[in-house]
Amino acid sequence: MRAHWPGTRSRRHAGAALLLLAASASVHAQALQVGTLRIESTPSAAEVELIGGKAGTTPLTVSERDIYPNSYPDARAALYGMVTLRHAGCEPLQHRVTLDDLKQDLHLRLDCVAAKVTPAARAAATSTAVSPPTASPPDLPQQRLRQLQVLQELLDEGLISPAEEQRVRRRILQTGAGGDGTGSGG
Amino acid sequence: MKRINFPPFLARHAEAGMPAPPPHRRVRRRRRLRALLRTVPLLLLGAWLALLPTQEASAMPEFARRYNLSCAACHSAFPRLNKFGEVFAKNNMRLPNWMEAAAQLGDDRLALPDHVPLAIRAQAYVQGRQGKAIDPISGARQSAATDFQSPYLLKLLSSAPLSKNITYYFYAIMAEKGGNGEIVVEDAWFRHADIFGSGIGMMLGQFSLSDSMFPREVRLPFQDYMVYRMAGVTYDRGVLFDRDIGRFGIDLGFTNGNGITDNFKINGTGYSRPDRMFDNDSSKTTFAHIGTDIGPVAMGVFGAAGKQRGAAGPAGMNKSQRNTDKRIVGLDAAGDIGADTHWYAQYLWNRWDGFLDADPTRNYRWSGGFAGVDWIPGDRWAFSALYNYAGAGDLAHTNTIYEGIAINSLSLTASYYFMRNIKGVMEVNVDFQNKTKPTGPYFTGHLNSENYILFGFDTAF
Repeated sequence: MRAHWPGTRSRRHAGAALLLLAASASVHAQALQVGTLRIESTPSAAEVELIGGKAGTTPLTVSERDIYPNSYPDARAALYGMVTLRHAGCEPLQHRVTLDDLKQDLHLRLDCVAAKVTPAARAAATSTAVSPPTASPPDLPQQRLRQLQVLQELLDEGLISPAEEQRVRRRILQTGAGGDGTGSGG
Repeated sequence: MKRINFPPFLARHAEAGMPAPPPHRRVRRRRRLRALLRTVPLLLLGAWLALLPTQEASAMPEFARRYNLSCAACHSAFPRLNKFGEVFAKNNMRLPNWMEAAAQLGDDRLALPDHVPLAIRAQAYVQGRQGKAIDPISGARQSAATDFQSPYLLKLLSSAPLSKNITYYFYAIMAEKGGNGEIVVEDAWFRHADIFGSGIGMMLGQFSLSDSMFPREVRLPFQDYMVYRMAGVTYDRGVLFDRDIGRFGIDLGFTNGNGITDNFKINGTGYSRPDRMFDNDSSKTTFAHIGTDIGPVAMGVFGAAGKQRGAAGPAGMNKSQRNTDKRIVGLDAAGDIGADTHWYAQYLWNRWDGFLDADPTRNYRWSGGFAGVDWIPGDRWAFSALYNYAGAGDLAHTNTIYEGIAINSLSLTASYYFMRNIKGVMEVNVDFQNKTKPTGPYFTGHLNSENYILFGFDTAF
C-alpha cells in the first residue's frame, strides 16, 4: 500500500507545529527541574530508606520516582511514598512525602535519645551494609508490638476475621525474625 | 484481576520534621481513623485487600490536590496509572485519610468536601490526515489534508468520597471532536464498596463495560482501542457488582444495552408523563469478567450477552425495529517487562444473530482486538505502540457500513511531558488495511486509507 501523505502546505503546517513543540520542549527541559527531592536531617548522616531499599545518607537527593515507583513488591507496599530515616541514638522517623515537600527541600529533625552520638554508632548508622544502626534494634520490636496491638484491636472489633488476623500476625512476626538480620525481631 | 497490597502510608500522620507521636496519641488517632476505615482495616497493616473492579481515574488532579500528593504517586505517565494508581482507583478513589480533606463541621455524619472537587482535562491537536467522509448512499466525499482540531476535548471531571463506603465520580464532555453545543456525560456513577458488609462492591450509573478489561481513558496513545467501540462495549447505564474470590477478581454487571443517549416518554395513559424511561426495552445486557494473575501475567476472560437493535435501510445505516441477540467473548492479558515497559493485549469474538434486516436469518460473527506496549524510560518521555486489528467476518461483502469493522493499523506515539500534567503528543498512524471496492450499490468498505500524523497537547489540571 502506498501512503498518500498530505500535500506541501500540510507538511509545512505539521513541520511548524513540530518545530514549535520541539522548541517548547527544549526550553522547558532546561527550565524545569521537577521530580527530585533533597532530604536533609538533623543530625545529618542519617540513613535514608525508601520503598526500594536503602538510598544513602543525608543530605541526599532522590528522584520522585524513587519515592513513587511505578511498581513495587507487595511486601514493601507499606513504604510507598515514605521516607524513613535512621540514625544511631535517634528514634527512627517515617515521613510521608507530600506535594509540598516536593516544592522545597525536606528537612527532618530526628528525636535523638542520646545527646551525644558515639563515632562507632555514627559509623553504624551511616553504613549501608546489612547490619542496622546500633540504636535501631530496640525500636523494631517496639514497632512490631504496636502493629500487633492494632491488629488485636481490629480483631476485637470484628473488623477483620481471625484468619486474616493470623495471616497478618505471621507476616509481622516473620518480618521481625528475618527482615532486619539482627535476630531482634519478633 | 490483580490483588494488590494497598500501601498504608497515608493512614499515618507523620509530619515534616516531627518524630512519631507518643503511643497514647497514636492510639487516639487510630481510633478516630478506625471509624473511617472499617472497610479497609487491613490497609493499616499492609495486609492483602480484596480489591474491587476496574474503574478509571482518568487524569484527576483533584485527587492530587485533595491528598497533597504528586501526580507521580498514581501515574507512571499521565494519564496511565501505575500500580498504586490502580489500587487507588479500585479502592473507590479514596485514601484512608480522605476525611481530613473534608470540611470539619463537627458532625460525624457529614463529610462535605472542603472545596468543590473539580478538574479539567483538555486536548488540542493538529492533524495531517488522509481520512475522508464518504456518504454511503451517494458516494459524495469530503476531505481535508490538514485539520486544526482544537479543542479536541474539554472535559470537566469530579469525584469525591462521600462516606466511608460511597464515592461518586463523573465527567462531562463540554466539547469533543469538534462537537460544540452540547454536553455529554459519560462516566457517572455512585459506588458502594461493601454492600451489606458482604465484601461485594456495587457501582450504579453510567460506565464503560470495557473498563473491566482496559480502561480506554488512561491509555497513552491518541488512537483508541477500536474493537471496544465496534463491539459496543463502551458506555451504558447499569449496575456492576464486584468481588474477589481467592485468586480471582470477578465483575458481574447488567446494563440497559442501548447506550447512554436514549430515553423515552411514558405515555401509556394517553397523556405523556414527565417521567421518562432510559431503556427502550425490557431486555438487559449481562456481562462478566474474571481476572487472575498467572505468573507475571494478568489474564482475564470477558463475556457478554444481550440484545441490540438490528441494522436496516440503505447500507444498514438505520436502526431496525427488531431486537437481535448479541454475544461477546473476550480474552485479555497484560504484564510488565522490567520497570519501564508495559504490554497489553485484547481479543474479542462477537456473534450478532440476525443482525441485518437484509438477511435476518443469518448470524454474523466477527472478531478483533488490539495489542500495545508502553515504554516510559523517564519522567520526560513516554513511547507507545498500539496495533488495532479486526476482521469484518460474516459482515464482509454485505454492502453495509459494518464492513468498516475491518481495521489493520499501527499507531506510534511519542509523548513529551513538559510537566507531570501536560504533555506534547506526536503520533503517526499507519493503515495496513487494503483498500476495497464497494460490493453493491452503496459506498461501503475500506475505500480510503486512514494514515495520519498528529501533534498536540494533552493536559489535566
